Amino acid sequence: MASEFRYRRVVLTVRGGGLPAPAFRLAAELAHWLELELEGVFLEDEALLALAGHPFAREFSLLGHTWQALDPKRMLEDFRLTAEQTQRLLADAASSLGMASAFSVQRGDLAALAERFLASDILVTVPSAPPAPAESLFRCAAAMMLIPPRPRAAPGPIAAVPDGIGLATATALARRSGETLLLIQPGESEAAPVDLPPDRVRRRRVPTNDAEAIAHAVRAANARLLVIERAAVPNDPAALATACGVPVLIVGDGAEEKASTG
Amino acid sequence: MTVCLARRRAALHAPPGPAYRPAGPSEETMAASEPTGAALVGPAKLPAERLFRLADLSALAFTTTSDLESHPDLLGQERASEAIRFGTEIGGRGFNIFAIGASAAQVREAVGGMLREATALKPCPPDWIYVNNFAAPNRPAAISLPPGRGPAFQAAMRHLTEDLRSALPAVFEGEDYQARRSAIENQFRARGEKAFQALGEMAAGKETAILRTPAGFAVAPAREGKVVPPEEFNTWPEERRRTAQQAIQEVERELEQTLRGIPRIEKERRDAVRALDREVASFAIGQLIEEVRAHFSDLPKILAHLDSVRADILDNAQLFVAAGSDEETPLAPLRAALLDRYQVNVLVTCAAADGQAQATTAPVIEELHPTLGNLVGRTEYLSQQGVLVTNFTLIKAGALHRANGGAVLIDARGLLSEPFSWPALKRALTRGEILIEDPGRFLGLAMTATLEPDPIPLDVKVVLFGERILYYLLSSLDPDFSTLFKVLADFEDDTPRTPATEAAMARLVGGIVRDAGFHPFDRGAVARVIEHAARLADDQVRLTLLVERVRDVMAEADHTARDTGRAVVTREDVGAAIKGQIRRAARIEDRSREMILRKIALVDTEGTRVGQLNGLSVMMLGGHSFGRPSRITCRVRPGGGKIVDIEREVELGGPLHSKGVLILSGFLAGRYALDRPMSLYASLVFEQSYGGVDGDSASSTELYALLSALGEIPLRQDLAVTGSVNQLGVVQAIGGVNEKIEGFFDVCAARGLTGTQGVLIPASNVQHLMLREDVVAACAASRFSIYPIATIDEGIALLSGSPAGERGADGTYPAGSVNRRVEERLHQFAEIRRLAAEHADQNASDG
Repeated sequence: MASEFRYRRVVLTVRGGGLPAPAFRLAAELAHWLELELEGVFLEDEALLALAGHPFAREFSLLGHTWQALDPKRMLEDFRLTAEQTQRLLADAASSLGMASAFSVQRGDLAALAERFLASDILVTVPSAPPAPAESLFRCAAAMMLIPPRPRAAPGPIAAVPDGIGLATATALARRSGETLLLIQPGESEAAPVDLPPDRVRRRRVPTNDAEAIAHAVRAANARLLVIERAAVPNDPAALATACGVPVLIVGDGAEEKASTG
Repeated sequence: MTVCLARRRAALHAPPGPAYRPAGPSEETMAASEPTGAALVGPAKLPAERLFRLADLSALAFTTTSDLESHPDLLGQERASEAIRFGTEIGGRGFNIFAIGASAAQVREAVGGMLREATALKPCPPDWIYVNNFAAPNRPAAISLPPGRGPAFQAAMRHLTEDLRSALPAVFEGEDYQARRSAIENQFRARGEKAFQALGEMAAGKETAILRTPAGFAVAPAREGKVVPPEEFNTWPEERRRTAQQAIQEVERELEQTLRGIPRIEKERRDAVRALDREVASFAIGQLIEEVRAHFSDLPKILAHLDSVRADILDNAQLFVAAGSDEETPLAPLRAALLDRYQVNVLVTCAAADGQAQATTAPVIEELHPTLGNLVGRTEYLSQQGVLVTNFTLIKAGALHRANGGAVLIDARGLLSEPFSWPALKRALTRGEILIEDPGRFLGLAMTATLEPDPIPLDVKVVLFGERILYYLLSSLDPDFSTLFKVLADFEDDTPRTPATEAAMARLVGGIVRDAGFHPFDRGAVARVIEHAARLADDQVRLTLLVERVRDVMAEADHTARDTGRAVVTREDVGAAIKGQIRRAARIEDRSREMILRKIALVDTEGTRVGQLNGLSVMMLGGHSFGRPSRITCRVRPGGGKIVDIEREVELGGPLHSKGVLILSGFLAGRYALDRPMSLYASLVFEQSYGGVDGDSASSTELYALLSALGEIPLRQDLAVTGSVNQLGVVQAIGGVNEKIEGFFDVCAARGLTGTQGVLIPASNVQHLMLREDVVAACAASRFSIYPIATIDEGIALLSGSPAGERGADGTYPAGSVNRRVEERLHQFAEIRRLAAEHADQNASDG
């Protein structure tokens, strides 16, 4: 796989209740544009299995808003069905872009899952309530794409808060996707040079670097993706993704180095 | 092949029929005998000038039709014109018009012209538009506007929508809106997060953990952030386990409350965003809507519709934002189509396409293909994502919409042959409104959801045109018809032939020449066309009004003249055109004559025969009719007073023919053997007739044959006879007299004209003679003759060479007369029958 970055894989992580359908397409597109491998990992959460072993265990169903008993057999069956659906949706999304995909099921906890990740992986996940310790996973990976609950999945500019590897990644995505690049420039920051034709680059200045201002700019431009440096991410990345209504790709930590292919 | 005894107009009917063969004489007596020769008894033949009436254009000064002005009015249609005028002027309900006439009479063109004149003073009717009904989108609302303002309102709404597609996205993408929207989003997101955060803290404080399951959430006992497995939990002291379970239950209650609160928070968020959208949109659209209102402030229904538009835009402002994003996605056209709800469908308007007022008078619409949709309008559908969809912009006007306020001219045959159209028209006229109906529903077909547009008030004069039979059938079969079509416009087929109408016809010919671009017709050509018009009317004193047939001959004459390089059409060109028309259609006629000439069909044209005579029939095939001689024979013997019509016995004779035969019995009973019972058995037949025969025009021929057979009197075979007869022996008019004469003439001419040959016709048919030029010439040269016959006595005298004879004071007919010989034969039959009866009685008593 040829990539100008150190990224090697896009890993879609799935736990519990699965992912919204657009997430599979978004993950596949990201892998396609950056020429990366695509893999899905379904985590059979041991904590849930442990809970299901208690005779008093029950769950509150979001569909019916009712309580229902939990038992290990049904929990395993639910895991199996969710994993199968995840694998199918990921394969469909990949094949629609002419790509292959891999898929695996892993039992354990988040820490066990984190061991699978490499420093060259881009994790794709959905913020959940209550918030999951996503940061712990992110420490193991090069980047993470957070997908909001109802992502806008339509053509539009690739937005970026320009800085280092974030700008390079966004530029590559804009080039490969055929979209324009929207540079969101907080305050009086200087315009960064971009390796794209001028008519493919738009700039929008925002007063501050807070989540509200960035989300405002993303929504106003009907952008399809926001790329942002990890260091520039406001306090709550999940809140930023929800406010933007589009996936947010959080990259690097400043130590990330661009790996030239040639 | 059916032999039709041609009928003359309404009252006069009588095709010539094959003569039956009278019985009576033996085979020997039927052998040929010498022609009667010079000493003819009976009426004189007609002079040649009575056989054809030339056109008299002496009062009209012109060289060619270029010198003639067109005839200004409809020729000979005063009655129909008056009816159309009356029908268009009267305003009562149901006073619609049914114009009837022959198809070649150009009823449609004539009525159309008259309607346009009659409606010229009526003002242009109002425009009608369909707009979306925001309360019930499947029932589009119809609104009437002053003439010509429909397109203006349509344009105003189109511009409004276009402006909003620019203005609303700009407002919603503006800093102010985004800031307020973000504030709302943050506010409600913070409420949700705060609730979950508090829940998480509570759970942690009670040594529990909240877990995401495939279907929802669960609460588990936890220690140091990890779920306590069952095997460990079971090792806990009972009190601790109970405490842990109580803690779990408390967290579960809190979890349930929190989760149940999420939808409420989400709803509050949507309400807040919606309120913000309405506030922002209201400001943006207010001025634009007011500009439209200002232009239509005099139209309350338009203002009410604009109020509905404003309210709907406020509720759906995001449609404009989405449609304005210019995204090329599969859903983009669908989003843009959602804005169609604010458009205007101008159903009918008197404005031209460029928006300028064009029509100033009421419309006259001709609908020649009156399907249900073409008549009352229709709703069209579009295929979107494999589904048929529609909306009010796809409503299409029908002829009734376009003619509303004016008149509509509809082909009656087409109307009746199209499914659902006639009932739909009746419903529209009865209700006084146009309702667009879906034929799929009538057929019970499964259809996608469709529209029920508001009905539109109907104020139209409906004029149906068609053949007379349609009018009479509807009158007798449809009880609604007479209440909906109260005005009959009956177009004449012909008109009296006078110097004035001949001059008018000449101008009509001139008008046709100009309209069709023919070469000019000279005087001779015009005269020949008028004479042909008389022949088409089958009458010396009437002219046909079937203009289409006249025009056809003129077109062919023009073609002939052009073919020969002449700039003016002459009498000879018209004559050639008429002959050409006949020749093209005369294949069957030629074959029929050939059969006679080859003696396959037996028709004598010389000598005499007992009980045998030549009858004449007319065959009509397509548009061509021609006369054909047929042999009629009769045989007699003593019997019970019955005359057998063999055609009827074998069901080849129609009722009129049977009637004619039965009349013969009445004639015999009234004239002969008054003092004793009728003791006759006679059979009559059309020889070599293998098709149906109807009409009574052969009844005189049959009577002559019967008298010949009874009196054993030879009849001339060089004569043919046509004419019906009544019980008193009076010969009555028949139809197709010209064709019949020409049919026998052609046979005689082919065999060689002898000078004695001719045709007996009813005297009352002399006025109908418009014979072919060659027939008239032969008669003028005494090589052929036409005899007008008023009574049977005249006819039998001519045919037999003997006088019929009148009953004398002693009650007997003169010796040697036809009547004497017939009566004596009847007496013989009566005597034979009496003796036979006595013999039978004697045998019975002996036995």
